[in-house]
Amino acid sequence: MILLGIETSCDETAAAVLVDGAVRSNIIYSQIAQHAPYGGVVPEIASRDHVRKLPGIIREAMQGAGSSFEQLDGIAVTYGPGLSSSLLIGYSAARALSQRLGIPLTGVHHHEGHIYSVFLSEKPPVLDGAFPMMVLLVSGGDTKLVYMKAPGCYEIIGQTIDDAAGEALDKGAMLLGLGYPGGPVIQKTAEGGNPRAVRFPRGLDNPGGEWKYTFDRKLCFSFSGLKTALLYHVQHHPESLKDETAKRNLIASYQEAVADALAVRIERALELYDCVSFACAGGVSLNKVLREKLGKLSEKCGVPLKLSSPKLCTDNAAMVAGAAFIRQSLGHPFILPDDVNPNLRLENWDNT
Amino acid sequence: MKAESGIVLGIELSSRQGSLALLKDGTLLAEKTWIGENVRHNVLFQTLETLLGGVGVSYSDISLYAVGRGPGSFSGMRMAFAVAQALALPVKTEVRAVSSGAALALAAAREGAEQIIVVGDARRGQVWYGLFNAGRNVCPELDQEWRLVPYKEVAVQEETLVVSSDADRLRDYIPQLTLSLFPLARDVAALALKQTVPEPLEPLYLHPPVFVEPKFS
Amino acid sequence: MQWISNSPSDTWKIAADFFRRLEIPAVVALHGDLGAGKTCFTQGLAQAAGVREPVCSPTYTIISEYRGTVPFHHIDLYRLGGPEEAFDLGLDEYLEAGGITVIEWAERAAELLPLSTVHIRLDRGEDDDQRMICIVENPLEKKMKDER
Repeated sequence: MILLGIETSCDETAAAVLVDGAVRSNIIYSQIAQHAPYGGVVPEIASRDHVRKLPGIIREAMQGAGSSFEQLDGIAVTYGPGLSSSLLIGYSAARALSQRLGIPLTGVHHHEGHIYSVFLSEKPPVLDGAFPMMVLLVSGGDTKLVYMKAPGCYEIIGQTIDDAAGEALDKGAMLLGLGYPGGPVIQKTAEGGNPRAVRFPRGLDNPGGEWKYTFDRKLCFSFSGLKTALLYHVQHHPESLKDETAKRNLIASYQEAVADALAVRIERALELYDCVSFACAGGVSLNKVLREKLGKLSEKCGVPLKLSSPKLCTDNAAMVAGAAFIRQSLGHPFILPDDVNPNLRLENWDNT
Repeated sequence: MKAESGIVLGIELSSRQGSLALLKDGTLLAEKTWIGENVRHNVLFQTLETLLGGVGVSYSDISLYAVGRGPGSFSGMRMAFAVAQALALPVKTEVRAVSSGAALALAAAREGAEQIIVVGDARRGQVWYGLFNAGRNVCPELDQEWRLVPYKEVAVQEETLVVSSDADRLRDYIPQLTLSLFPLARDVAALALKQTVPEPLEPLYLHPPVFVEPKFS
Repeated sequence: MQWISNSPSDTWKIAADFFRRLEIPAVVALHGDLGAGKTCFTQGLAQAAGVREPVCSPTYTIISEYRGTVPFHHIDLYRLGGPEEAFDLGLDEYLEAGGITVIEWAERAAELLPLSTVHIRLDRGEDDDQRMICIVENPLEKKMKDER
């Protein structure tokens, strides 16, 4: 089965070809340089760039896989969540191409793509022995703990109540004048710094106060206070930005707080839920400090950890085709969405 | 197959009314129009199948895709390009972009006008407009570059017909605006066939993306 | 109308008080700098409107939809260039959709806001935790008139 994947939900224009679930090509055009001056994604710049680049990226993915359009068995496209003006480009192209070729199109939830990316490689995916699995989903737009008894069975057991982890890194980097995107630049400038120099809040630390959500508070995240704490720290200690060592320590401590907040929650989740593996997916899962912490956690609790290879961590289209392949190979039909949905929710396969 | 002798599919989504048209050897085979809900034109996909099926044309018969490149609704223009370029991918069919403004001027020229101003709402008190010279059997030519100006600065000379697909919103500000029309895919396709100078394969945005740090007083 | 908040939970209570006075359907525009507590106020308002899940920052998706006892929309226009783009995203649809629509950085699309929009201004007070919250006249009106 040969699938073409297309992804344009935010600021990456991507296309990929998978043969029987094995990644044959994975082309990603990142618009980061265009958005960097603004400290974040500017939707109008993103959609203008998608429409300019997508046809060439699709062609490149087909050539990279050595496939012809006639050989395709189906197309998978991200239809949410994301920026609606960006999603619309990939969706329109995918739907037109599927009609042109007379092959089925399926819509994929962007987070499903991230989740199944941990199973993808140049070989067909193997899911046996991985479930029940705990997934920590961390990206610029989302931070969630998803418990999966089986493929296509999602229970969100915790999530951020304000900002996403990636957003905390972006905003922190912006505040410190480090540039965009925050994750890579914070990791780089924090190198060699003392992560315990400044004690930043991990979010929801104080048990006091009312809790009005249905989620277990211990499994939820809050990064908005962390960002404010950094702002106040810099205002009260302006000297911490003048000295290189102090600055490095400050940034390392900030990164530590983000990584620690994430690692602590997944550790709690693993204690509370019966899992045979756990995974971390999404752009922030590239972070070295977080990867180290998760690796240690895996050793400590004896539950194997699954991480995606770096090219599959940030937004890409291989994960989109991969999720569609896995879904289909487990007997769930393609779903053709009528439109994009910027607020798309994760749905269990049995319900769709 | 040379575009001029084959079948052309015109795609026009830059205004509230979307349309698709098929031309064979320059003559209209079929056309479908619809009013998009809140500038969304997803009805295009189903309409495309009905249009082709209705006249027994298959995708492989199409030798040219003609896209209305605006000015107009950003998402509409982008969707038109995304669709046309995707349809063109498998056998590298030719895609040509055509000014939707010229298509609108062509429609207005059928009403007998020779000097035509095409105007559209750019919001925030601004309009975009272009002056076209047209005539019977002549393709409308843009006299000057498109301009983006405040409502009151649209200069209308006598004997000039003002046409817009945003007439409902702009009539109050531009009294000379008398003709309310939408650009049609058949005109986009016809202009693509007569095109001598290729237009860039990109939407016509009229201004770069704006992002200014918001200030609040 | 003016409130003083000394903590996030104060802000929630103020938002609940505000909700009781609000005539629905309503469009609420929030004005204030980064860190002035706009998100916190929105969360409190969502809670009062019966939304049971956390209302997160919509910076990356611009428009977030929730279901409470009434539909609840949270819109952040910070990254938009202007009303053309806002219109393109279907903003006017949300403004007419009923329920409660909360908009941050509403100046990006001032001309699309209905006349009945309630404007709220949030400012940081004397110490780090204090916030001043008040209902104000439309601060965008003068600016729009100047542009016309």
